[in-house]
Amino acid sequence: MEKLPFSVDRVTATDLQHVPATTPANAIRGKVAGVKIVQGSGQPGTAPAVQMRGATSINTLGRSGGPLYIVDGVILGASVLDLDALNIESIEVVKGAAAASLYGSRAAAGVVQITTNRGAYLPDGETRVTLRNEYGRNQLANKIPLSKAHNFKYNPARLDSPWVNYQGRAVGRSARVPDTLYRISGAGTAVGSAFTSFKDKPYPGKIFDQIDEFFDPGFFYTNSITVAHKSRNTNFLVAFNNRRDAGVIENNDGAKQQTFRANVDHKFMDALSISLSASHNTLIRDDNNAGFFELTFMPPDVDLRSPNSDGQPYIIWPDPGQSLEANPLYAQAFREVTTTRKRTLGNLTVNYAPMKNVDFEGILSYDRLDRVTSDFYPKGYKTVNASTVNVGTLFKENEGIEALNGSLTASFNYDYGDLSTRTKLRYAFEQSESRFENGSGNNFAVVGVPTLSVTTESKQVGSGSTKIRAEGYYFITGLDYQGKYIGDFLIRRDGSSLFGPNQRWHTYYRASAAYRIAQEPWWPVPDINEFKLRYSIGTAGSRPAFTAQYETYSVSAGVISKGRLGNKDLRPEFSTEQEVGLEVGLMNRFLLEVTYANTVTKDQILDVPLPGVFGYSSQWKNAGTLESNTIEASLKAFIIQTRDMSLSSTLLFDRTRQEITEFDLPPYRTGPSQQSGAVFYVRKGEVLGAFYGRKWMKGHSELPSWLKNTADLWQVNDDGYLVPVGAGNSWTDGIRKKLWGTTVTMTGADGRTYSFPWGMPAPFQDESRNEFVKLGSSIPDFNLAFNTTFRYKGLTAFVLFDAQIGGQIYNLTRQWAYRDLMSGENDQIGKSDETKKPLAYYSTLYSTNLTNSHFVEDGTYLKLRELSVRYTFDRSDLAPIFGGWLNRVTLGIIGRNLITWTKYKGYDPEVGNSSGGNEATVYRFDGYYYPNYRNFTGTIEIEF
Amino acid sequence: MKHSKLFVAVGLVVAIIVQWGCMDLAVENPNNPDRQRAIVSAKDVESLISGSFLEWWTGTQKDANRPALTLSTMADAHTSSWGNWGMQDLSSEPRTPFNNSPSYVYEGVASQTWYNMYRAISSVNDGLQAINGGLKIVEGTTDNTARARAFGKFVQGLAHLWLACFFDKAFIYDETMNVLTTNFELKPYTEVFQAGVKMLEDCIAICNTNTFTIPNTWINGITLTNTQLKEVAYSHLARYRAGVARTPTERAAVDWNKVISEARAGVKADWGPIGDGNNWWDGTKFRGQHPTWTRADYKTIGQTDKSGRYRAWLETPVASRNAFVIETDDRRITGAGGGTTNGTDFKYNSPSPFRDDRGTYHHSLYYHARYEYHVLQGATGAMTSVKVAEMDLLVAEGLWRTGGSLQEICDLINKTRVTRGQLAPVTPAMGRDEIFKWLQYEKMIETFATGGGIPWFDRRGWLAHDLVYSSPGGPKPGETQLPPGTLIHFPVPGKELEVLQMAIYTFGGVGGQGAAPKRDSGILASLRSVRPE
Repeated sequence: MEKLPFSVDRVTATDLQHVPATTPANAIRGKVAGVKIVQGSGQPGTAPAVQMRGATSINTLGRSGGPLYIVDGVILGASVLDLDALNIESIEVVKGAAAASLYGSRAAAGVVQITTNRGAYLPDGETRVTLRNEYGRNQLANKIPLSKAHNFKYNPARLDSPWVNYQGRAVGRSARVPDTLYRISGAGTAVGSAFTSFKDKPYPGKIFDQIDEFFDPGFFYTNSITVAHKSRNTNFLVAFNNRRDAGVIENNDGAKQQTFRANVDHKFMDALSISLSASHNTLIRDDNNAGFFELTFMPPDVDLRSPNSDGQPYIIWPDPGQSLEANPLYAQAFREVTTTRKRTLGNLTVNYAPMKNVDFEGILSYDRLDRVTSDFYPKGYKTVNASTVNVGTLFKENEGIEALNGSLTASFNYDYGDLSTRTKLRYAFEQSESRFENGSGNNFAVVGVPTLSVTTESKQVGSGSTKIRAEGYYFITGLDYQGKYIGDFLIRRDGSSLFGPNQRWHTYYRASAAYRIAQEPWWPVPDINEFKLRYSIGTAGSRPAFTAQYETYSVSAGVISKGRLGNKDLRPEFSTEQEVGLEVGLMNRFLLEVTYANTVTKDQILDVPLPGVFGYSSQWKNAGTLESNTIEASLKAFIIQTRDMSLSSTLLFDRTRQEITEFDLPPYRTGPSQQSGAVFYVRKGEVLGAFYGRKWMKGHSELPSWLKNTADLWQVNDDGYLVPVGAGNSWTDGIRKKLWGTTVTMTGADGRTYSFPWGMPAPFQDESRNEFVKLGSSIPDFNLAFNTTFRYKGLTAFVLFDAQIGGQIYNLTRQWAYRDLMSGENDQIGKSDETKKPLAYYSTLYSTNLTNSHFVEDGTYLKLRELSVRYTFDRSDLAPIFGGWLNRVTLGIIGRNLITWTKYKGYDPEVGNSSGGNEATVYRFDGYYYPNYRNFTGTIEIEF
Repeated sequence: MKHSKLFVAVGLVVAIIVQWGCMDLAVENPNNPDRQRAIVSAKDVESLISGSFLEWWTGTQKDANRPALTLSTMADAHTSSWGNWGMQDLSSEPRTPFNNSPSYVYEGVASQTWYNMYRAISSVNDGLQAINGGLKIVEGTTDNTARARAFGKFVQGLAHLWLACFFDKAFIYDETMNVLTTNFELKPYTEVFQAGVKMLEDCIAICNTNTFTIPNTWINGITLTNTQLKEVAYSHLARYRAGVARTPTERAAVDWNKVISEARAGVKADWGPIGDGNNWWDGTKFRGQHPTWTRADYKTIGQTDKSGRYRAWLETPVASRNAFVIETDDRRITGAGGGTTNGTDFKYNSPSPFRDDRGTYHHSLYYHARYEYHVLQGATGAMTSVKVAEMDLLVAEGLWRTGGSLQEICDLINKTRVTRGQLAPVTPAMGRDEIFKWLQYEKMIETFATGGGIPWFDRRGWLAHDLVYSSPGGPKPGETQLPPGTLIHFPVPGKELEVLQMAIYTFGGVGGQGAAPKRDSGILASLRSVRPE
């Protein structure tokens, strides 16, 4: 690595062994600077979103915005990684175009190369068997506040029948009426009782913590066995892993994963060797994500576990009359949503070195993904309102992706005196095909037989397929003069069927140079053992989605209609990255690496709307430029290095800024879902990940020019909002002076009369009286990570902290809870009359789910991400007891996601969504997803 | 030896590259055809035309980001304070201007219907251009070209008429125009309406001179002979000719003799596609009959109340109104057992699901359920869009406005009022004004949750009267039944204006442009009367 003129990070088994990651992508978290990982959903068996430096695509609809993954030379055909992190030997992270040009039109978002364990590293003749077991529990680390108070008239002394009507007569729960402090005089000034009613009363009788009712700490375990052997010409490694993660939801099965891997290397003769890597992975995941939404509407005084009238558990409608929503426990118990994913990877590498300086390598790799998804409602399934699912429905889909990649490389390594040269010529091809078939039907003729053949109504089928072909050639040469002057030049020509017919081929390049000044004989500071300056410029691309280039007509039920207009000139997005780096080594104990990277990605592939008369909705066009710059730094310190004791630490820092600099289409709202989820706004001159919507004024300076003259009629309340109070009043006078529900009328500087509801937050307007303004952005100010490893004899302790500083999250989970005022924030118990807020105050903030600043929250956090303490008994410790046949026994405890320090009000600030046009790393949006959870386990590892 | 090995190896490399290299990078999209594959045969051209009705249906009848339910709440037929599809924003009082920014969360309520109409028109025009170019659609020995042409003109006309009724201006686009070479100009709704009328008249002319049957896949589940297609075309001509008027003055100026003749030539039985729970469903009958989503507004169902509660509700300031139990003889509204029993068309359901803080005046204890099977059976079954009663009542209104026989008008009203509602018949003795009130009531009840937009079209053109409003000073001349500030038409969607690089504008809000006129309170009116304006 020290002779590379660009930045490539490497994470080795040593870094990974302390806390084996639950997914491979999580393995690089906190170990590589400039890599942002967001586990947007904590659902077991799901992968996080990964972003290296700045985003390179504005709109990733229909394609992945994440890096290219390569496992043992297999370029994955699908962006999801099916691999047990326990099998990883090392991970190389190539962050941007300045280094990743080698992979041409697929590499703008970076490349992650994973190498799995092999037997090659064993001494000749040795066979090694490793058994590893880990067992522990999961736990929801943080709850969201749900309401524990009410605003109804009641008689606290009558626990059996506490609710009363306006006349004081006992009534049923659904006929209870709001308690109001006073009647508002004057017509048209209030809407119902919402201005004079406060959620400041405790529920009579038993109440439940509905979060506790819904979440249930599940178990977690992994078992693995690895057998490795090496002889003179052959080595192999066979591994089997079994993983079970029950998550944290009651009646949800979580995920089960089993992986089988076999890696074999054989040397036929000195010049010819062959390597085979093969793996098969099966993942079965409970994809039932029902309940997170409904949970935020459940009042605390209903028992979600009470049975339905027919005795079936989990009453379907726990709160008729007050809440529209169904029991969150019911769907988890009776609906079955399952994904079964099977993945087979195979790689054959043949290496032939006919001469000392020349070798040829042929690689053929195969990737097959089979996915079966199923969504089953049994006959008799209950819903709040009548629904087609009551008679039972089944949806099933089979999806398959098959990719074949191959390459042939000729390498020529020649030295000319002090100048070493490495030259490679490569041809690579790719073929990928995907297909799906699905079917659905309603109304099962027979109960308990969840197959489509027994459905009797609304049977529907669908299918589709795609095909991708690509090929490329590259030439690369590396020059190294005396280990001091290093150069690297690459040119690649790439063709792909995904580009428009007029744009099939594109050229990428890289030019890099490094100067290792400390290697100069005149270098005056011997303690600084490395001082490397490097510069690299490179280009790489991002490919369009399969359908983007095509003119499409949709044909459904024999009906033909226009879809999107095609584009024969559609090009890949084209990233140019320049990278400047400095690497400083001090006393062979400290290594500081600082890199500045600037990336310009032009030809953004964007969905450009067309005038209505065209009939086509839109056309994918190259219509924008996204620019980013990143500063990343890592400091590695090997503080103590003795035979018995070592202490090493790594500190990582990165900071990214990005902006849309060209945008040849109208701005648009976008986000994970169109119903209230389109909180991001994309337009020229804006950062990618900016929230737009209604902003509540927070200070007098935000009053528009035409209301500046009314400043003394406004005050900032204890929530920090600027609220109208009128002359002579304070924001605390709402109850004492009966001001809630009244109107503050004022004459603006423009002579117009303005009225505002007393005490309520008011929307900010810009000078054009526009209320749709910027609220914040999901881009962090910077990220930090710190890990340290301490070893004393057999004891090893490892700890990893990571932090995001700045950057905001849109918390829609919290906003929805305001709809029925069931958020704990709406409760007024314990507040003085001066600070109490009525129902209407929170409804104002809810704003009928309009995107607004109240729900834009600071995403800053510090996490104790990983912790492990392990003790290893080596052969010498074990020999007295086991007679020498045991090589090693390691006992340990492991914690993941242990503690999060944050002001974020959701379950976890690590939240986001990778649908609807970008990755969770950009779409920091909390939309009632499965929260990340804590995990604490014990582990035993035996090697013999 | 050394070099021979190298040559062998290089040869091997070259051979493999030759074998694998030069891949054919042209890949066809096997899922969605392009124009060349989609429209290769006369049958495809026919399909392009036949599929266009579903686009029109989607834009006018569905609720997913379309306006059908929103318009009904704006007309106080349905009521709902849920934010979806702009229902709360556009139907809460006081009315506010429509937010025509493309960034508005419910901008789809205007833009989606716009794009649906032009997708329908564009498909039809492509098909008709192919026919005009000489293409014959022949199946066996049957020439179906006229059938396709008639249906194309039918959808083309429906789409233009909807655009004329909904937007203040729109593009006129027919098969004689080339989308790439025409300099399209936005035309006022009156011109768009005339263009739509001409297209439907062309359809009728083709129906008059040809014999054919429209298959049941074009309009799902129903076949149409040329005569029946003509009747449906006439029905829509009558509906939109009356409905295009923005104000009572414009409605009074409608050519009512034409409305009468078109309505009389209209459908002879209730008409509409059959729902399939997938592509074919009806928002006004799905969420429009779902007690959680929408309720029936008292301004529509309260008019026959005998308890005095409706009168009291009307007399109460809007912000203080709340739900009440109706006592009525109209068996469509409630059962004979009283206000908490179900009528044939509406059902009692307590409590109202809407939040108090969004306005208790949205509350209602009743929801529409005449076609409730559409909800209960997964959006399937008949989706009545044009009712015979609608045609009868258009004839009745035409007669009323042209000085026709009061007895004939009463007979048309009583057809449903007496038979279905079990109400006492209206008679000429009640007088013209009273009869017209009950004509309007009858149409609101009988067309409830049928054709998209009907209550909004009607109420923007009907004068306010005491069954609908009871402000202290009473209704003023020229005031419509829409609450002040309600949009009387929508602007061209902001999204389209941005693409066209035109300035965004809007309508609505109390005192705003393109809105129902402001209704002054009695006090303000008297103050006005002494103050010069």
